[in-house]
Amino acid sequence: MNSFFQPVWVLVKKEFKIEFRSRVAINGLLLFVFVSVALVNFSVGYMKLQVPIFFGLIWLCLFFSSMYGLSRTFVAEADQGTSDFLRQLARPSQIFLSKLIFNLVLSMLIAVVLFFSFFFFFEAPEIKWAYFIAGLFLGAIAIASTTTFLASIVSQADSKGALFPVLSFPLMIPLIMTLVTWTKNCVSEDTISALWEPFSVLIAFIGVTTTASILLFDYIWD
Amino acid sequence: MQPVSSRYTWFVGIWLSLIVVFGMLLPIPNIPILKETARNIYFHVPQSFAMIFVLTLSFWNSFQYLRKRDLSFDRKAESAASVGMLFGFTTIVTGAVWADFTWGVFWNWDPKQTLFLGLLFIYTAYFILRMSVDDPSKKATLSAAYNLFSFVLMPFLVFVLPRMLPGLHPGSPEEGGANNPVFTGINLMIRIMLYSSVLGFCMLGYWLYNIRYRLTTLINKMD
Repeated sequence: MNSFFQPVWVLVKKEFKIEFRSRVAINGLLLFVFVSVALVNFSVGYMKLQVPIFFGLIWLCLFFSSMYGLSRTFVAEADQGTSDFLRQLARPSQIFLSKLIFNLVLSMLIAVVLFFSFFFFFEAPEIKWAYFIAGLFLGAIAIASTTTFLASIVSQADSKGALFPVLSFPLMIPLIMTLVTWTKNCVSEDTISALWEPFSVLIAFIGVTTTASILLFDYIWD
Repeated sequence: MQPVSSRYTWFVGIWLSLIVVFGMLLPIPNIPILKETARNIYFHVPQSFAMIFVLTLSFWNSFQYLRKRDLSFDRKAESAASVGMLFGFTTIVTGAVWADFTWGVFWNWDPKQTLFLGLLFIYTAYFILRMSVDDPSKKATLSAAYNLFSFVLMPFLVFVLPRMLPGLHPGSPEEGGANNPVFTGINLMIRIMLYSSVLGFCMLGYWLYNIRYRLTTLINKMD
């Protein structure tokens, strides 16, 4: 067991080390989040937003920022020509797990920054925030678990262009609809029982995507 | 793959003609808003079933490709996916005509409509992915992986979320997940008609898939 997770840990450390060395991805991403929030603020910032609009905008910014940030790990390996070295070092599932962990951290970071910048720029509506934050984190995890595998597909394609969002958005439609249901139910009286259904759907979604991508990654990474 | 026998094509032709004739002639319960359009259940619903059937064929062939790395399976998966998109399109069109009569608009972002559209987007993305890879075996591997990955998410689109979110299709939560209202009244006959129609459309789907596969094989040989 330990021999399986040892390389994963090494690879995760390598991802973070490379990221801290250049800080291109992280700074670009933070700027992207801030610019998208500022753009929203220019257009609707002068009025007090109602609950559905406020959260609709948060999900919108979260999805577009993830589209920008989460394809980077695999595409960078392909661009720098380091994929072959990676193949020598570890088994496919170990490589995938390390990338998945890095993307999870990155999408959590996007969620946190987005959340605070929305709070900073807007007058926030009254809802049960603890439940909403739980949903935000679950959503970030679900996005990362869905898109990491798609990023590995995109990194091997010849014309990358807009391929990543094209492949990801249709698969995320059920996710978006579940998350919107989640925020809608955050205002209800009996929050726990209202959130049970979207919660179980989200957990099932994360489980299915993670399992399927670990199984399928063996076939495309060789 | 051999072409389907002429007996098969005759059977499908006569079977579906009979479905159309009996679907129009047999009595149907008079439900307030639906009225005579309830007959559309023999065409709209079976087409979506046929779509799921050919997409399952596509899934199976992608799976076989990843196991055996034989490019003929990739062509089979592609052909089945294109037939599936055709059935998805006809399902949406027949549904939109029906929705115009019963709900007053062609399209109203009912969850089932939205998610069905999402399903078509997934397979459009599948074909875009195929266009953006040049090497045939790499194209086959990547698109097979995407096909498998999106197929395991299909239950969420087709079965889970339409039963969770409020909507106008039968089976939405505010009706308590009730059955289709067409099924009230003369139940058994309608069920028999519906399932025979499903069988007919699935057989038609297999026929189209067979033609499509042989066509792509020929085009491939010419290149």
